[in-house]
Amino acid sequence: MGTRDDEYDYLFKVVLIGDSGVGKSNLLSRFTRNEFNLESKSTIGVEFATRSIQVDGKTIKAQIWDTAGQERYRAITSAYYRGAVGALLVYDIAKHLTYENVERWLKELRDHADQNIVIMLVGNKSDLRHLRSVPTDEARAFAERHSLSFIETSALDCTNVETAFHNILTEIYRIVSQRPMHDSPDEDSPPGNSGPIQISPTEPNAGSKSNCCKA
Amino acid sequence: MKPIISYEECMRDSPKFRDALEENHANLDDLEIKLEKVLKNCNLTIDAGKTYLGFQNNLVQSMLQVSMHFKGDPAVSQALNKVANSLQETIKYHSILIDQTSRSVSRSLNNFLKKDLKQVKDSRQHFDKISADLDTALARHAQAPKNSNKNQVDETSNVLIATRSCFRYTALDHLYTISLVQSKKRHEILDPLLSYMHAQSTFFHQGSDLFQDTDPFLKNIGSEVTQLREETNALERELGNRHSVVTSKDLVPMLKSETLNGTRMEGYLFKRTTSPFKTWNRRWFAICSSQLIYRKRTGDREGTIMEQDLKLCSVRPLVDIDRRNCFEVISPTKSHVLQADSEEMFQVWIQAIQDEIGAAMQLMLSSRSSSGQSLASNESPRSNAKDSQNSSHSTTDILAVAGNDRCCDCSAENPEWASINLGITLCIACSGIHRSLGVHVSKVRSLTWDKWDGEVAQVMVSLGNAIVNSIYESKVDTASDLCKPQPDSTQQVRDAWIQAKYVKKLFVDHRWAGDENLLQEAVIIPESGQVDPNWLLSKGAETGQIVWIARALALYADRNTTSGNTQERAPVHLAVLNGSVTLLQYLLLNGAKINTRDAAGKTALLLATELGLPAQVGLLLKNRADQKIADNDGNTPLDVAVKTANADIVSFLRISRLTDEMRETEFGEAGDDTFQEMVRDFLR
Repeated sequence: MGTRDDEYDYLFKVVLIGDSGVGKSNLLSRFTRNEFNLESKSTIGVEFATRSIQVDGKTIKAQIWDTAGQERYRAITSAYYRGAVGALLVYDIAKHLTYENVERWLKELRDHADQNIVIMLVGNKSDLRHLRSVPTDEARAFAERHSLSFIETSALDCTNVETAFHNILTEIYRIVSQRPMHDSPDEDSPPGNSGPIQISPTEPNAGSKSNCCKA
Repeated sequence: MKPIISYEECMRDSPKFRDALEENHANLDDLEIKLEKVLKNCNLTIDAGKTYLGFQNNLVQSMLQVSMHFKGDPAVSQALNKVANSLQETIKYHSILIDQTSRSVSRSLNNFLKKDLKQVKDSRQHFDKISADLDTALARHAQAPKNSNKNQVDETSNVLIATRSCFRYTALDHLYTISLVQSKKRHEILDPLLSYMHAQSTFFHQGSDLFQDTDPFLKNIGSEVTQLREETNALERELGNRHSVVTSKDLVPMLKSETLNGTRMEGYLFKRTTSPFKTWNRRWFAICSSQLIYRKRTGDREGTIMEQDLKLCSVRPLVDIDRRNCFEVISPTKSHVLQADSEEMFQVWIQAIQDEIGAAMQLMLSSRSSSGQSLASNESPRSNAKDSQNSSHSTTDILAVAGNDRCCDCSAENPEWASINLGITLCIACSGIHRSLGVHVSKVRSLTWDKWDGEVAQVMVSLGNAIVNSIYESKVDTASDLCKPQPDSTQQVRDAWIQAKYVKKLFVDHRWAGDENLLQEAVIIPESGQVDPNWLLSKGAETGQIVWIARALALYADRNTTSGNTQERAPVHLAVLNGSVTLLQYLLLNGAKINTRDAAGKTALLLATELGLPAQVGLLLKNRADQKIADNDGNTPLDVAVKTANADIVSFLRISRLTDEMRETEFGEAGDDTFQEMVRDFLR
């Protein structure tokens, strides 16, 4: 991960959560490396990968965290959610239990993550049409009830993987970038000494140093 | 009183006798009906009384509950208690009255009805029967024909004589019964009524006595009630002009130089969350005892400490932000963005925080010159920063260690500083000299101001002034011109002593003073005949004897010695094998190389990973161990952790690496925090 050299306007931390075996790691590898491994083993500890995308001419770097679904590691639970602005809550459309457990994962998010975290419900393995046990409409209705975005993906055949990440990153970008613009609609020539305010998931430096001005 | 009629009339069974009987029968029947009514009403009264008393009792109980409500108001609660007690007394009297009513009236009357009047009835029945028998006998006797034989006549007349005789006895008995009852009824009815009246009289007397006793008290309550009512009226008048305080302006509090209950200023501010979304929440902030505390409007009694010690903070206006009236409170580790409601409030808040910072500094300086007790007083609400609470906890532990209540070098009281690699506490004057020695000799920290990690505090707790001086002052030469400083010694005296003690190590006795058995297996230096400090260091790290390590270090042991083991393991390796986090931390604080490799090319980090010790891995990473160093077979710690599927260690290694990579970017700081927090959670 050579992060030092590349330039980006925004860095967003996004976490993957959901039961064991729903395909979180393959979603991550498909999105960041365009790889898929049918034989992949259970994730040990945390893993992360990054990829940058363009939204509205801005470079958004996604730092995506992945962890094993079956266990809650006591040492990393709070570290895992800390600073996360997005969460992909993944279930397996062919395993109803993984969908039933979505409520539990939502509770975990409520307990540990920022209250404004953007959550997308992802029904993965949409290629397993003949084995489907979670109807799309039911999941979509559930997502609407809980104000989540919703999408069905297949890391195996690539369906919607790009769209899923693109959508959640765009949504986060809209939220994060809109806030400071209420008072200064003209973003490129703001009054005073402040450039466009750089929003990154870091806290203390509520600063104005921005990469576009450095260049 | 006479029999109801003369015996003569009775014997003759005259109409007069029969009339008298008739009259008496009617009279007694009438009495029976009336008495039954009395009895019935009496029983109803008793039942109703019991019911009443039950409710009355409930009433008193509920009044006692009301008095519980006034727990904090003794005037009202005492009055209520006394009233309830008086009422309870009256209930007692009342129940006695009812008891007596039931016993005297109800039972006696019942007796009279069931026994005496019943007797009359029985006797009457018997009399009627015998009377009928007599009539029959008379008729038979009269019917006997003239010419009938004598026997027959005799028989009827015999029957008649016998029957008449019987009748006369019966009639007289009946007369007796009636007469007796007629006489008896007069007192048998009056008597119970009299005792009833007595019971009533007693009841009212007791009540009267009781209330005579409570009279002064009741009068008291009366006047109190008047007074309380006046108070309410006064309050009403006072609140009458409440609307006059309504203004359209912000309520700007006046800044006081004197703080009230330690609270300098409180009020609402908007607080920007530290989350990436930077939402603003309105919270009630208070500046209180050098702390900045906030709480939600409702449901948050304890509040959260935003800054534990304002001494360490600064405050500045924020212009470079999209909102108005913002300011920033900056501490060594954090920054908080706050927004006041108006320009005026903004000024007042900044002033208040600055005042509090000034006052806290002043307080600290003055307390140091007197007796400086700023340490143990940190028992306040839950802290936002977990570590600062920990630190107050661990500094208390540190001060509790033997010898730590006085400066290690000059014995001044209440030391507020520490040397973390030596494991001692110091006064401010001596700590200044320690600082000047350089961090390779002494790493100085403030017990009050600095953040204390649990492992470092643990090192302090494992050593302490008594133990360390038993090593560093084991051979003080009294003849020397160097003498141990006193609390009031000059800078020069302290300086000379501390230099000699820790840099030249003049007072360390090289002779082994520990376990004699150890000498058997120890490596001895031929020239001096003493235990080899390098061997002692390795042995200490291997067996977890921190004091041996301290001694070995005082004897110039090589911190990275591989003496005495074939695998070329340094003390850091041995400490990892031993499993003690404290030991490892102590070695690292004393300059042991963290990335040393053993014969197999393994670093301490790799060894800890192989052994599956996440706490050691966390500590080593926190101290910047290089996780890229592979062993001779080319395995890095991450390879090993993945292979052994140790999730905690994998996470530590990966997040640490991410943190390193991000360090130079803006995300670095947060990443660092994440990692530190994770390790701290784990080591806790």
